[in-house]
Amino acid sequence: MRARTESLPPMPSAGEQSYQHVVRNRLIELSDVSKTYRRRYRRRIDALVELDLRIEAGSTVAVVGPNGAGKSTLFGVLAGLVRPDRGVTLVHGLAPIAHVRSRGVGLLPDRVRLPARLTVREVLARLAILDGYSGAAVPRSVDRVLDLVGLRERSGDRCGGLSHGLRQRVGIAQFLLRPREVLLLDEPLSGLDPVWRARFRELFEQLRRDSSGRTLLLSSHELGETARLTERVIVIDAGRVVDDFPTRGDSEEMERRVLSVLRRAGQA
Amino acid sequence: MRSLAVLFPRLLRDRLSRSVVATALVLLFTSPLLRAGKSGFADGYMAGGKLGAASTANLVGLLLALAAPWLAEGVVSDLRRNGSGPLLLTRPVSRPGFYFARWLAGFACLAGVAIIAAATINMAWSAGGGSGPGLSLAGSIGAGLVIWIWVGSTVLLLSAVLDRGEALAGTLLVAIPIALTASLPTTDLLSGAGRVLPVRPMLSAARALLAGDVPVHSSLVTTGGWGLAILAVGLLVASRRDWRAGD
Repeated sequence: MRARTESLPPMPSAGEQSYQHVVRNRLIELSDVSKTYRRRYRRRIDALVELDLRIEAGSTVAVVGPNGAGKSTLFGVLAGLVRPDRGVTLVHGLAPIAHVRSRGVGLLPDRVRLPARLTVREVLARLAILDGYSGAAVPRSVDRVLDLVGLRERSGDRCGGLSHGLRQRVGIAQFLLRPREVLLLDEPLSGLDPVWRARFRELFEQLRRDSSGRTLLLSSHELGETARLTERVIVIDAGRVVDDFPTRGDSEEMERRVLSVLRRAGQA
Repeated sequence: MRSLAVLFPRLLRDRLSRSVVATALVLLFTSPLLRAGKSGFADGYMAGGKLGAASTANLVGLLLALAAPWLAEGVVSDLRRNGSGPLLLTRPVSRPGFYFARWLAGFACLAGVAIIAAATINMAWSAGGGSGPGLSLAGSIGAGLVIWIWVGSTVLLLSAVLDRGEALAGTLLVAIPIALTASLPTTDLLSGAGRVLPVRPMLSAARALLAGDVPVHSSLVTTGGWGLAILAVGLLVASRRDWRAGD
């Protein structure tokens, strides 16, 4: 449970000039983006349907909606993990895969899955290497994030033996190795106990404070929490944006609005 | 590119246990030949070393071809099975480059198996007092590459489209043409299949390299050409396949 309060690492130095330029401009654009998953027996699931979205650089945005609404697919598209069937997606003016290739994207998936036979330290070391660390900086960066999520004592454990909550904390640790300009958090609180939910909120606030220009997208079913952490809410249902409004920090009002929109969408 | 170079030793370590098992199996299956060599070939029977080298190279080449699918398994599918793909592939790294590094680690391991097996066989023959089979150590790397470039690439392609079972599929791709060509008379169908699945040219090039001979040029070109084409397709397919964030 030990967790030190340490500062987060600085923004990536690569492309600093162009980054400042991008911050002044629209950052994420999706135009007419559709994605359909084809399952067995010709079953089709429309995950995203003609989605249009603009997200400004430096904003903190919540993406909410019922299960299967398309939130994870949206994050997958932005992370270059999912190819839309149709439409145009631009992140910093680049296609998502090209953007990831040049700058990387911070992704915290809803279910963090890790190689069972590797230790927590080894998994984080590999990710740190791909983040550009080398030599002595690798163990240093790993120790730093292990301390941030209170997992230093468990660093020698194999990932296969970790509980869901501990895996989620490893997920947060890898996310903090080198925070990127675009951060995607898909159900970040899932599986965390109350102490670590509070700790996550602190880390999230710190990320926001330290990150003039970082864009954070957060998906969560916990509407009250979301209202406190974000400044804009995008409501998605059946792959479509059904509402989009500023939160103004009022969690009750936001909760009422989201539920009423989703009920209306469900009845339609 | 630099981060992949730093990561490479860890990718090699992932394949280490399989490499040790593969080496042990190659030595286990060649030991009857070694014993025959000591008692038969070593006393000058049938030009001793020459025949011993050919037989041993044949067997080692075949065993390496069968071990290759197992060593090549999981270049893409492991990431899907253990779920680490999304975390790895959202880093600033080239996807084809990342898969290529994993593929290359497999080649280094197969070459290692081939060198250790060849060196051990040579030493065992020398210790027995006979003239050694003369398996070439440099040729072992070449044999490993010839085998890997075709078998390893095929298994990479299978790994990109299958979530599991690509090692078995790759083994069957090697074993079935061998079994068919050994048991059936050559037909147009078989020779056509041989062009598509160039197992025999691959094996003939590998055993020539192992025995320290210059392999037939066409067998190298056929194997290498097919292997590189399959590798390119495999990397393309792997790089374009969707990952769900929860995969």
